[in-house]
Amino acid sequence: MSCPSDLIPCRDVAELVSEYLDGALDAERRAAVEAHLDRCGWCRAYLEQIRITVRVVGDIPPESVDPALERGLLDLYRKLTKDDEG
Amino acid sequence: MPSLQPSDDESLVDRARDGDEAAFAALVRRYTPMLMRLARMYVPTDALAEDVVQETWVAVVRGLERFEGRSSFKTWLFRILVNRAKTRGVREHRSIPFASVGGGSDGAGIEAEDGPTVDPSRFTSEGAWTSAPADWRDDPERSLESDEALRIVRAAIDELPERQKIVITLRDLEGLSSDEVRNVLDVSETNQRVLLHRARTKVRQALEDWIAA
Repeated sequence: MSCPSDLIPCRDVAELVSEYLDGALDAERRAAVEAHLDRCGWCRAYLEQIRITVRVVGDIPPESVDPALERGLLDLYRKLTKDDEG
Repeated sequence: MPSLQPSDDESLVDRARDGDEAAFAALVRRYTPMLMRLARMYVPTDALAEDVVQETWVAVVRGLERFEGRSSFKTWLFRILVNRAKTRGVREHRSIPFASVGGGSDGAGIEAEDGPTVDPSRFTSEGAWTSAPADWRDDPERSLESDEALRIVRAAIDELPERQKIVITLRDLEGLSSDEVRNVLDVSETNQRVLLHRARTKVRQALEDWIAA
């Protein structure tokens, strides 16, 4: 498959997909990317790979807090808020 | 992406300000893992990161009275952490990512790489793909939803240059907006976008290598 020559090349689209996903492109570049994506399944596949990458990164679960650290922080809170009152 | 309710933060902050320990505990549980992860990028050991996190919470408790909610609680909290972590990192003689906080010269050295993020051999001389990028939606084994995928992604993030690591962690893992990241790190919009793009493409590459293996 080769890209129609009236479009910006796939190589350039690949550098813009991340900003495209974030809605961070200006209107002109956004329109150029969209026109390209409309006609280029391979770039749509690449865009999807980046989209899925972002999703998987977001799926990394938060770690739990070390209970000792949490206890220490609560002790500090108690102490600090008591100091304020006193 | 994590979807923390800002309104939740606000009410917890209000209650913590009034001495409600349970509300403070909820904030600690919600944010300490992120703070640890972020602190660890600036200081060399877990123990130092814990110190920094502890200092941060102390500063938060002391500052709650003055916190007026002009920025989100999360932005305020992360900013305190980053400033403390930097101070500590400098003391430990670490080279500090985004060292110019407040200085505004972060354009000085965007990671020393500015080449393309996709292997140039994937394109013809006209810039079209030479072969199709795989369709990841067609993932019958659900491998991209597996724990192994998470492990690959975590490892790939660990390998990133510090600034890319911090930006992708804040944006895509912790779910901060681009404005919030700009406020936390004092990084320009452009640099943030470049760093995030580079980080995402490297993590994508790691997933691709793993899927192809």
